[in-house]
Order: sequence, then structure tokens, then C-alpha cells
Amino acid sequence: VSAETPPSSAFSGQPTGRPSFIDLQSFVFWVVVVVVGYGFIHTYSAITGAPIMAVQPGIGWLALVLWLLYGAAFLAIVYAHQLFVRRSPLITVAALLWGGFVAVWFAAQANSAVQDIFNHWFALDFNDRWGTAIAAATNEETLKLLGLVALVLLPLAGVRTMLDGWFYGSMIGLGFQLVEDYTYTIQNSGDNADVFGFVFTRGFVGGIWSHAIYTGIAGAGVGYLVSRRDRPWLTRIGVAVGLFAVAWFFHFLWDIPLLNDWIGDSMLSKVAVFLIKGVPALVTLLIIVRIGRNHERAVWSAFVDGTIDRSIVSDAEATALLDRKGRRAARKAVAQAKGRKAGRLQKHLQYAQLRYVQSVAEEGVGSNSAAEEQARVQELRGLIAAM
Amino acid sequence: VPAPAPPAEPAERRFRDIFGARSVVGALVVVGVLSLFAVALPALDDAVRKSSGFETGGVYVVSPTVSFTPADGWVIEPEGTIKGLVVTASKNGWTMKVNGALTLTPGQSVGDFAKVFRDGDKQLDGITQVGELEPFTTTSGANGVTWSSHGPTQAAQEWDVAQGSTVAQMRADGSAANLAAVQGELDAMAKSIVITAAAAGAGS
Repeated sequence: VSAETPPSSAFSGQPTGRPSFIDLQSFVFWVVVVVVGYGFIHTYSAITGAPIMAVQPGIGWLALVLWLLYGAAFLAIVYAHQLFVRRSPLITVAALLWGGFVAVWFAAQANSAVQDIFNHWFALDFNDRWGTAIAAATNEETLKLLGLVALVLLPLAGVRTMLDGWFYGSMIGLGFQLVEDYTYTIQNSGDNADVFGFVFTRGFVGGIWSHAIYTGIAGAGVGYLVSRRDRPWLTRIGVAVGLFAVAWFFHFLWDIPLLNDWIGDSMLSKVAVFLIKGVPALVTLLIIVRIGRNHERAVWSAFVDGTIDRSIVSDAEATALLDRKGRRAARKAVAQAKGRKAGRLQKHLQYAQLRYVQSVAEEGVGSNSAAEEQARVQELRGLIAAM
Repeated sequence: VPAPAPPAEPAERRFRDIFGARSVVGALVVVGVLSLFAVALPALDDAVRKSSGFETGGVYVVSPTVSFTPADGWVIEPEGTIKGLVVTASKNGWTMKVNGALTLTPGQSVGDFAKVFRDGDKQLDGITQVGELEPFTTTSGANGVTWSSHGPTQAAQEWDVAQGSTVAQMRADGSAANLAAVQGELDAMAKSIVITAAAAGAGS
């Protein structure tokens, strides 16, 4: 580990600035805005042009509501997995829009062209066996990851860590998944029961280990590449390329019918195939997130030790904040000593302390946001003490 | 209490410049990769289609018994093409398919055969008017029938010619607005259909 080149992080010692998507001083921002608008217009036309929307618009609305609810639940789960940093809502929205409107639209064009080329070059059943999976995994993973690269290229967005890459990558994948599944639902549903069926099969049976997971894996690689300046270039590139290859493989594995053909067509077989194809992807992502989180924990801890006023976050509180178990234990101890309401206030205190540390890291110890969070911490500490 | 000091901006943020390398090169990278997928791949697909399409002026063998001479600019559609049986091609929003794997049932005339498909046209969405069967003869002397169907925006034409029990069927569908642009070529391709002598002889 080189002392001269510390890993890039929100907790690097110097204020890094509050992340923002809106960066008028960057062409990349304007390119993203234009292509999101372009993709949105095409996607909107495709959706409103679906025959079912003219005959039974209620199906379109039902599908929209269900997929939005699904997306909100998915987003909430991913959001809750951020232990030390609350990432920018606006950048999160931008990531969702890229996945939903840019990656989906451009991938549709590319997939169609590649499958057509395969039809010319190979035997008729090549596309069914391999071509569709190769085209989808290559085009879709690249286009989704391009959205994360665009965010990395925006100086104000401040994508700096492996977990930043995982989080925004997951959001791009989620946006992709939602628009693709919504479009599929309205194009293939004849009644409301079909809509519920598609949300169940594509959302819950197939969606838990789908695009959000793949792009989360590949995104963590990009996050590692841009952040771990303490590692040799070759290692960083190797990790980024390797994780992209892993994401590509899981996507490819999901799309090829080979395993489905071997195992059979009964409902039980289908569930088995989903589990065999999906669980390894989910487990891989969880391992990657764990590695990223361990690194973030070490960096956060060092930052708190070196920078934070211990009257705002004491040693014991900082230790408790290091993982969920410690946080729960601290809340429980307060609740047992002073009642359930005090336990709830302790939870708010922990969040205020985390926000304070993030504000100091991003905007400096003298910033307004740090002062606000500091006041909130002191207020909550006073309320708990008075109980 | 003194007002908090403004935070020091990191260099990365302070020296942002819309014409800086990170901004311009970054935008070019994003646009370049998007262009690869949205422009280059479809262009490659187009080139592959053209290179594997019909040879100009050549005779295309649809099946062991049926061949025809394609007009210029028609591009083979692989999805609707089965080597040795059927070829599908497109141009100007029109798609035409030549099927060389059909036969008449004993006692069936080419008119009877065509009537089945003509009746099918009446059920098609977008088709409001189905024309009468008219006699048709290819340049090589095979006899058959043809008819046209129309709707507000769509149109279709079909030629069924038979020699012995072998039928060559050419079907074209497309935008009514573009029909004039391809009509002459469709007629010429239908006229050029040849049913080889080897196939003739089963009789009907």
C-alpha cells in the first residue's frame, strides 16, 4: 500500500464537496441529458403505441403502478444497504433514468442488429441457443455500465468508491429492469391477471437476481478502478474487467436456454433453474458489497478518529456505528435504560451522527450542513439525557 | 458565534471547465460508445445483409424446383428465409416471400389453391378490399393466377403459378403508399419465376 496515493473516498481527509448530478460545466452532463430525453421519447412512443394501450388502457396503468411499487421496494432495500454514506437522490434518479431510457432503447437497437448478423453468419438455431444471450449480455451490460462511466466522468457527481459504483450501478440496472419489464408486461398482457402474473414472475421469481445485480457487480468494479489508487493500475483494471466479465457471465447464463432444456418444463423445474442461475449472482454481489463495506468501514473509522470532534461522536458511539449489530445493541441498551422512546431517539441520534460525519467529509467541519447536524446531535443527546 | 467558514473546494471541483479534457473527452467517449451500438452495429448489419443478399442480375434458386430473378435493391431477410424452401426479401417498406415448397393436392387447380389464400386475405386486419383472381403467365410459360388486396394503409399482392403439381407462390405485403415504387419490380420478379422441368410431371 502506497502512502502517497491513498484510496479515493468521501472520507479522505479533505472536503470532497457535496455530490451533485447537475454539472453545467461538463459536456458529459449535457450528453446525458440529451440521450436520456432521446431515449424517453422513443420509449414513450413504444409504450403508448402498444395495442393494449388503445384497447385497455387500464392494464397499462395497473402495470405502471405495480412496477413502480416494485421499484420503490427494491430501491428501498438497496438504499438501506448503505451503512455510512447516504448517496445523492438526484444522482440516483439520473442513474435510474439512464438505465430505463438510454440503456433499454440503445440495447434494443443493438440487440436487433447483432441477432440479425448472427442470422446471416450462423445456422438458424444459433440465435435461439446462443445468439440472443450473447447479444443481450454484451450490449446491455456495456450500455448500462456506460451510464456509470458517465457519472464517474462528472466531477460533481463524486463517484469515488467501490460501493458508489455498486450503488449507482444497481440503480442503473433497476431502471433498466423496470422499463423492460413494464414494456414486456403491457405488450403481452390480455387482462389484469396477466399483469399480476408478469409482475410476480418477472419481478419476484426472475427479478431479484437480474439487471440490478449484474450492473451492481460490474459497477463495483468501476468503483474499484477509480477509487483504489493505493493499488497498482493493473490490479485495478483487472478487477474492473473481471467483475464486468462476471456480470456478463451471469447475464449470459440467465438468458441461455441450455439449462432449461436439460432440467425440463415443469413449474418445479423452472424454479430450480431460476435458483441455479440466480443465487450465485446474488451471493457474488453480496460478497462484493461485503468487501466494499469492510473497506468503507476502515476508511470511515480512520476519518472519524482523525477528524471528528469526539464530543459529537464519542469513541463508544463511533464503535457502535461501525455495523448494524453494534447500532442495534446501542439502541437496545438505551431503550432498556430509559424506555422505548429513548431507544427511538437513539436511532435518530445515530443517523444524525452519520450525517454529521458525511457533512464534515464532503463540505468541511465549518460548513453549514455540518453545523446543522451538530446542532441536531446535541439536541437529540439532550432529549435522551433528560429522559 | 462566528459564521462557519465556507468549505474549501477540492481541486477537482474548482478547476472544472466545460472545454477541459475531462469534459470534452468524456463526452466523446460516451457519445462514441452509444454510436457504436446505435449506428455502427446497425450499419454493419446493413452491410452484412447487402453482402449476403441477391447477386445483381443473377437467378436465385429458392428450392430444387423453383427459381426466380430478383430485382435490384431487394435485401434478403434471414428471419423469413429457409435455404432450399423459402426466401424472404424486403425493399422500401415492402416484404416479398417466394415459397418453393408447395404442391397441389390431387385434383386441385392453381385457382383452387389460390382461393384459399385469397379468402385468408379477407380476414386480415388492415385489408378492406380483396380483388378477383386474374390469370397470370410467367415468362417461362408457367400458368397461374394473381390478385391484389388493399386497405387504407396496407396492401398485398400474390402470384401463384403451377407446373405439374409444383406451385411457386410469391406473396408481397407492404405500405400502400410505397406500392408504386415497387410495383414494376414485383411484377418482373413474378414473371421471372421458373419451375424446373424436373419438378413437373406429377400432374394434377
